[in-house]
Amino acid sequence: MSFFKHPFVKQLGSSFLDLAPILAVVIVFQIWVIKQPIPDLGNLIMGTVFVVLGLTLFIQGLELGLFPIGESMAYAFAKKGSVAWLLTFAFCLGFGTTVAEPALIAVANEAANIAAKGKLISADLQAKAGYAMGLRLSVALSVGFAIMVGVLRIIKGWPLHYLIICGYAAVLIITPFAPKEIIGIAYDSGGVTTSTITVPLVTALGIGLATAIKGRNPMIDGFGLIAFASLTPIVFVMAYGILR
Amino acid sequence: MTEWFYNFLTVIWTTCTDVLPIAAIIIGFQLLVIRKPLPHPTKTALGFFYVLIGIAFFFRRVEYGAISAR
Repeated sequence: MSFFKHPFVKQLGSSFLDLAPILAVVIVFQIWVIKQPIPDLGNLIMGTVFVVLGLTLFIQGLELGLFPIGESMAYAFAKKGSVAWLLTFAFCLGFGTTVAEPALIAVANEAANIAAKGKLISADLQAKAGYAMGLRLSVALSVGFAIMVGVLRIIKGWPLHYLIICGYAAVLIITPFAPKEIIGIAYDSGGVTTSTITVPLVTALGIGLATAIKGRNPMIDGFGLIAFASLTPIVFVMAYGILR
Repeated sequence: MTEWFYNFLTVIWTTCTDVLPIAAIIIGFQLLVIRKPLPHPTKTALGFFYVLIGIAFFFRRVEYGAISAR
């Protein structure tokens, strides 16, 4: 096999092509708009090498490990025929991938700082940590709930848009009652949660289930878990703001 | 050099703690509920390892690069 046909080398090349537009934007702005030489060229080149290598390894790892295991577990659960265990697994997967999500931790801490400055909560460390933890738990619960309901939808064959319409209706109904300060955080939290590992794992679970269950089409029923998981945090975080 | 190595270890460790809960859930359900050995254990472990290193390189480097580009 020639060097350039090796799958890893091919993947390296395609990772580099994926990143080339970003690199081009940085370089063009640096030269024509900021009109200064790139501050640390060696660092930029090293960084680019690491990023290309990282992206390549990540994608290879997904194809080798996460996609197959998500699908094989979906098959195993479908064969076992226990809906209760499948729903428990779906909830745990949603909750577990979200509660440790670094982006969510960062956003929750920032929100706690802002809330303390705005005199919503007292400024001591304990109050801030409690507020941030409350936010994280509401988001994690909401994603667990969303994956669970989404899996139930695949089993029952409900059309996806009913769930999405109901979800946004809930958002519209609850927004006027939520404290003003939390609305922005709530609307943003949906995007924060659908992370690097959650998305491929949950997608593999959905497609695996839709393939394994008779009468379901993976193209029609397999997707949509992520859409619902980025909607429910809006409702749950606003509810947290009201109940707190 | 030692500082670089220390930073590298910290990055790997943070990434491990991010991925650990997910690995725990998958392994727990596989062993306790499905009760069948993994179909391709070595391949899966290798995949997880790649993902771990990939995240460490990609995302931490992006943070670092974005900060230094400012």
